[in-house]
Amino acid sequence: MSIAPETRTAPRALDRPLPHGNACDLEVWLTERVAFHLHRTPDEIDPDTPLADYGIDSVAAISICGEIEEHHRLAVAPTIAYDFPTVHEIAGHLAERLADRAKPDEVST
Amino acid sequence: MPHQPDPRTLTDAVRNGADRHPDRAAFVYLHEDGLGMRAEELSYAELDLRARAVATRLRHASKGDATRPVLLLYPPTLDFVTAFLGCFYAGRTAIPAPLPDEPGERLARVSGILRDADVGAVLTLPQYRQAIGAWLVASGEQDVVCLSTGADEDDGADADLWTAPRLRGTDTAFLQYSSGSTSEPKGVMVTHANLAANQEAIRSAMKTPQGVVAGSWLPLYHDMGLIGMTLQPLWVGGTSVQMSPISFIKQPARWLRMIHDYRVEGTASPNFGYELCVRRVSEEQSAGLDLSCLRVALNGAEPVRADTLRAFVRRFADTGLRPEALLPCYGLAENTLLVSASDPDAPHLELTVDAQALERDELRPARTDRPSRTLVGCGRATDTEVLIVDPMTRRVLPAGQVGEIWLRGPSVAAGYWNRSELTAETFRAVTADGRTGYFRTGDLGSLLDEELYVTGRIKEMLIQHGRNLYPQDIEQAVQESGESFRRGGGAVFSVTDEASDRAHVVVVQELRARANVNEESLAHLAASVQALLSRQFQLPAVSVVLVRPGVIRKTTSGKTQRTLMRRLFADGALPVLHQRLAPAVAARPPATDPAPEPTTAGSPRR
Repeated sequence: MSIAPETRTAPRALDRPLPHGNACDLEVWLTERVAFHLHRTPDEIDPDTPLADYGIDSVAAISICGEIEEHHRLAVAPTIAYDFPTVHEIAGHLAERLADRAKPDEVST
Repeated sequence: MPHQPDPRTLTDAVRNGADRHPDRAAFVYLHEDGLGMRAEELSYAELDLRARAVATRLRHASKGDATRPVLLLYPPTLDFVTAFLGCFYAGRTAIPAPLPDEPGERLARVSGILRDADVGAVLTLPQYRQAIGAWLVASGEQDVVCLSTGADEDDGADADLWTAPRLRGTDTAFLQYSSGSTSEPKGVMVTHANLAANQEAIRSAMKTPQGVVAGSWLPLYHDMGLIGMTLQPLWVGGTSVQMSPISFIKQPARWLRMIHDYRVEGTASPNFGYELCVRRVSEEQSAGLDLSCLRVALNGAEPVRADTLRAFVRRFADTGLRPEALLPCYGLAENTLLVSASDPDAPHLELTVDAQALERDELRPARTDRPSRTLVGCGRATDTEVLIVDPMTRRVLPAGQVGEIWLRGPSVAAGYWNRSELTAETFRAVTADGRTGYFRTGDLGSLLDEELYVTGRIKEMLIQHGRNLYPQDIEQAVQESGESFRRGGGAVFSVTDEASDRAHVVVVQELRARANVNEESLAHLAASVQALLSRQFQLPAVSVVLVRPGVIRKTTSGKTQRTLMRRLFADGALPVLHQRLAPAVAARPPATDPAPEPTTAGSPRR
């Protein structure tokens, strides 16, 4: 017997346009989200300063990962904020991943 | 001597479930799969079969050495549950622990457990077996057997060879390593009788129906996740739905979605989980959620905040959430899990008391002309006898007075593994009037009309001229005193100057991102904190350290690490925006301090 009941809702449709992989737009968006999770204003976040310098903790790091997945429909490692330590580097990495996805002959991850 | 009947064991519960409803899901694990969630289910029949297979292999692999415990090293999966049950089926003591899949604190912690527990066997998944074997050799534990388990390994032929173990109620069912520091782990010995007693206590306190559906994101190796959210549903033939802490923190709405999808009746989380939902779940995500199925939502394992309970109820009011479903509770691994919980059919109690009386260890009604504190009631004790005791004189205190919480009863664990001295001190305490056999929790609280109010931890309490001050009260007062101070971003502790042997209070407080940080306003803010604490707590010349957001260290379950903050302060390791130190504190040489406060085994670590 499966207990997955009938009340289960369907996965939500893609109800917002997928952002294109422009590193600059990504950086603006990411700066705003990073600021939210670090309890700062976006203008306090310098894209080339390591997030560690702002006192990022594991909950904030995983939260940022979750936001990227949610907003860009792109699965990323929970350690992304440690693997790519600045906003600039994370945005660059995301732009590459999104550009790869846009190529028709490659299977997206 | 009267014969004590052997208690019902977890093995009995699962065998019974496999007999009565073999196809019912015992567990559902929600794995992240790309961007969605994939449900993995395990029926009672499968769980029983796999547990028998694991038990048989354990027996054959370690003949003649069935006394040493079995360490379970798994990522968050159902395979942990089958291996854990396999230990019960084999009559072996299990040790739940996180998979040491990253260097650093987690590996150090598991290495500490390996040494402390005199482990006889390790169970893990096939893909980790080689690495764990190498780790065992490197740790000088060549004689420890490492077996892999999993859907492809747990063979039906092995299962058929299983015979039921002979268990006594006094046998240790598992060791819970959730208290103690990394360097000095303490394994709480939970016996089969303890487990049966606490499962029954939880069932009667929560009025858990047969076949309940419970669900959470708590780690499976943590007492609340294991005893409350994993074993309680099994105990009553129900279903446990789980996801990992990482899945939850990435998208807190997934927890609520799980409750909705599976019609979860019981869940649990530390306070910070409820806060994350209020802060992070969007209107879009909560639209259409029906949480009316939720009968019990426990809030425990860290201080329960009245404002969090209110904010959660308000935010999710239109989901059909019953306000009385939110149940503040108190529990700890040394009492198996649950000590007390509010009534699931009534609103929880809050008590606003006079702050000055609280400093003198008394609960008195608040007065309009004086500062007050709001305490959240953690309900009545279940099967456990609770005493409030003066920690110095060991005198039992009357209702309405604050002292150390002492416990006695069938859920109190047998002690700490291999630590007879520590066990004698903490598990065999005697009151001044000669009552014996109490466990000392180290927590402070008070009973009023049998309701338990937990007020703090003894070791963090600040004693100033004979008055007891709670750091969280001072932190809260500071944060409520001005817009610049970040809520939840403070740590208050005391440092002692060697010269006079006097304790001085230090306040480290984060400023909000928008706060003005020019030198003049910083000096003004620091002075305002000093004035506030002088006025409200009669604390002269506290030392104030203002820092940026994120500097205050917390455990992943959201507890402020005050002891660690004190050490960072003493070592001069805090990135200070501005500080205003009392002369004796400023003159104090950098000192090394006791070990940092242990982080509770909680959600994922960095």
